[in-house]
Amino acid sequence: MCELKEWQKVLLGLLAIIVISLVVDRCVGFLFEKAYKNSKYGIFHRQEYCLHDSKDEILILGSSRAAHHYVPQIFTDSIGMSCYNCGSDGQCIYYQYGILSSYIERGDIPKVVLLEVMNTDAVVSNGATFGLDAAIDRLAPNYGEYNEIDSLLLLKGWKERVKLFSKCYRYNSKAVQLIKCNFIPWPENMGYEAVFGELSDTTTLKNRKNKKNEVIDEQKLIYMNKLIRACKNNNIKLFFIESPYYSISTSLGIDVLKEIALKNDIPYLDYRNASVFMCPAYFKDEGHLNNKGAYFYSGVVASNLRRTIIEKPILTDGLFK
Amino acid sequence: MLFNSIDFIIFLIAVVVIYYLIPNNRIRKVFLLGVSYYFYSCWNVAFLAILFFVTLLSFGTALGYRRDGSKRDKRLLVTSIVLLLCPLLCFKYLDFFSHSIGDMLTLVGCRIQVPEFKLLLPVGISFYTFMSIGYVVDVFKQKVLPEKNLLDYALFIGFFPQIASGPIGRAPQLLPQLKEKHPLLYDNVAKGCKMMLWGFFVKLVVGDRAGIYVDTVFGNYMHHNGSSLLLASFMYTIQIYCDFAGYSLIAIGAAKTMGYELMNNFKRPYFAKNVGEFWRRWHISLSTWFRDYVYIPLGGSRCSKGRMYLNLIITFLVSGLWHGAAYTFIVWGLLHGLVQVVDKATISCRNQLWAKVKINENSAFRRVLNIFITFVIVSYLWMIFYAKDFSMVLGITKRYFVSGKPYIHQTTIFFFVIGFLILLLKDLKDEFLPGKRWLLNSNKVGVRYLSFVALLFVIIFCGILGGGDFIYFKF
Repeated sequence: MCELKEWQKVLLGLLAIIVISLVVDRCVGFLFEKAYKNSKYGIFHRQEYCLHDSKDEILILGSSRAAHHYVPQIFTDSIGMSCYNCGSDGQCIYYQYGILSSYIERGDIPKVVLLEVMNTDAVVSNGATFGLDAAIDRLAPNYGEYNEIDSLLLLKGWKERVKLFSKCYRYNSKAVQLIKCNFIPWPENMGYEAVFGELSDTTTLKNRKNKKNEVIDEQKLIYMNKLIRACKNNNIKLFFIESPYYSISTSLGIDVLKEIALKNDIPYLDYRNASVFMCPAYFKDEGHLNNKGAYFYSGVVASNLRRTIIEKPILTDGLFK
Repeated sequence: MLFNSIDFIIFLIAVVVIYYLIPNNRIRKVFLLGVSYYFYSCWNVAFLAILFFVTLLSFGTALGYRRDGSKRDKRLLVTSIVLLLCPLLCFKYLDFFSHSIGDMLTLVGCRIQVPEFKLLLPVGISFYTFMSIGYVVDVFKQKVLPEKNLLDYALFIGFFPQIASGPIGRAPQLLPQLKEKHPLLYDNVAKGCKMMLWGFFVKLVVGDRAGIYVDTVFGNYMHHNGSSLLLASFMYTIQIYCDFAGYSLIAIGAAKTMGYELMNNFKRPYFAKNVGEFWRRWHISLSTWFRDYVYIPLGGSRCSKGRMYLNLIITFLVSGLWHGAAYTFIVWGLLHGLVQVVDKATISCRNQLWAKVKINENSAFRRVLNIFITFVIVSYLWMIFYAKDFSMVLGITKRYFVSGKPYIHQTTIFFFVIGFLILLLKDLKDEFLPGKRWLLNSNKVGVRYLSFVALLFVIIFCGILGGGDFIYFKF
């Protein structure tokens, strides 16, 4: 047998690596995809439900504050419409736009969207959460399913497209969640995730100073406006809503979001420091209501929404601003 | 252009392919120099001016020597070293010196507003400045002939795999390689790719994953208990090793694919039995640089014990300052020097104690104990290295003693443990069974290829693929 030349050996070696990698990528990627699609519990189950199965009339969008603060059953009972809580930890407007656009693309258009807004929906986030990276990471397994989600993923440019060619890449760092979502039952109620524990009785309401150096993220505002436009074009009644915090603060991002709401004639439901909720017993921590607080809060919001959506009264209770 | 980015992978593939397609070695070198300058200019084109200055000054200095040990040569050497250090001092230390003067004046009751320059630190400046100083000293000492070919010399200083964070190459080792034409060899490409893959693994899977926990806990240390802070200290010790050893492996591997051998930079440093040995295994190109150009010129160990201890402390003080323009780095270096002085001063005493309990130097117990003690000392000193200021050092040190359950972020810990165990097994095998050829280095082709792909997929599944920075880029 003739001896291979060095360049032939290098080429053969590279070819072997590419072929083996492709086979492994498709096979292992397929297994991970199965595990993801068949998730029974937790975030992946909820995400898959939102992206493919939900035909609910009221959608709650937002971050962990949405997931832990809104009990859909209360909204259904009060308003008479099916409701699902699509809130997800560490996500911002990109993810919420991706979720809503999947409903619109498949034709299951909701009637009402409650968007739990946060400062991070308008300002630059430097960490791993509340940014485009967080949304891309979460939605990567659904690459190729919806145009708007694909366009979100490709905001990162051609390099992300190259990476997404790998099926396995889409499941980067998701093994723990996949195990949990398939094997560890996680209680949830139409997307609502209860949290327990409360602040101590002696916790005082603190005045938090504004964060310095906050910068408005223009791209986030573009997506906020896209979401507003999508709602208008599809006759979806959109509400911006701020659930309670057990601290007093203002922020640049919220000011901008209020301006956007005003400009687009979107009701802005501000419960941020509504006095009825300013009790430590309702809070798990400064930013999250506990289960007791969430039930109370959902009741108040649902009854106000019922009046707005069904009875259309003049609001005088001071909760709507 | 970071090593851990897709841009770099594409860049490297293109460079290697074109490099081997060029038949003429001189044109190859022109091409390599061009892409090296392009690579460096990706950070900031203006940085190239400093690189040109350092290159031309050291090149000219070496040619300007009479090489007769005359005072003129000495003056030329000293002048060139001072001039070579100017950009480094200016860009890296100006604010530090300015603040230090301000602090000292405040101490004596004179409050003045010191100017703040906030200059952008050119990437790799500490590394190529040291390379050029090493070169002018080596030529002065007639360890190496002055390089007459500017192209070769410019490539020696600016070679893209090592420009950003080393290894700090030496002229006698690298310059002759640049003169040879390297044919395409399967072994070089395969070895280089394997080194790079392992570098990516340690950086992306272990180092960057540990970094998430470290930043979370140290970044909010006042709210964490002792067990979380100890875990963060341990993980930072692993992180900084993986970050820099990973970087070095990628650099050495990239050069290897083109047939160049760069200096090995790490030799499993956490298996060291004392801090002195740790420095013989950690950032070897820098440690040997300090040994050859600071410690030995100061008198090294061929002098009185007291003087030797002083030399050691001075060397590590300078090393601390090299790592960063802050008091914490100086104290970090000083403590590394002091620990070695204490180690050397008490060695006979400790040997006598061991002899009394009849445990000899080579016993497994003594080795493991020494490795453990060294690891603990180095880890604590890394915490100082991480800290922004001394209040943070004191705060963390105090809170080490606050009891409580550790903060566990499941995903971070899960992936870190997977990566760390793989790394530990590999380092244990390399340390204690160096002759064994397993997995990536197996004699069986199939095993080698499958191991390569398996490691690639561990990176894809478990790595942090967002393209995080390298810690040593700051230096």
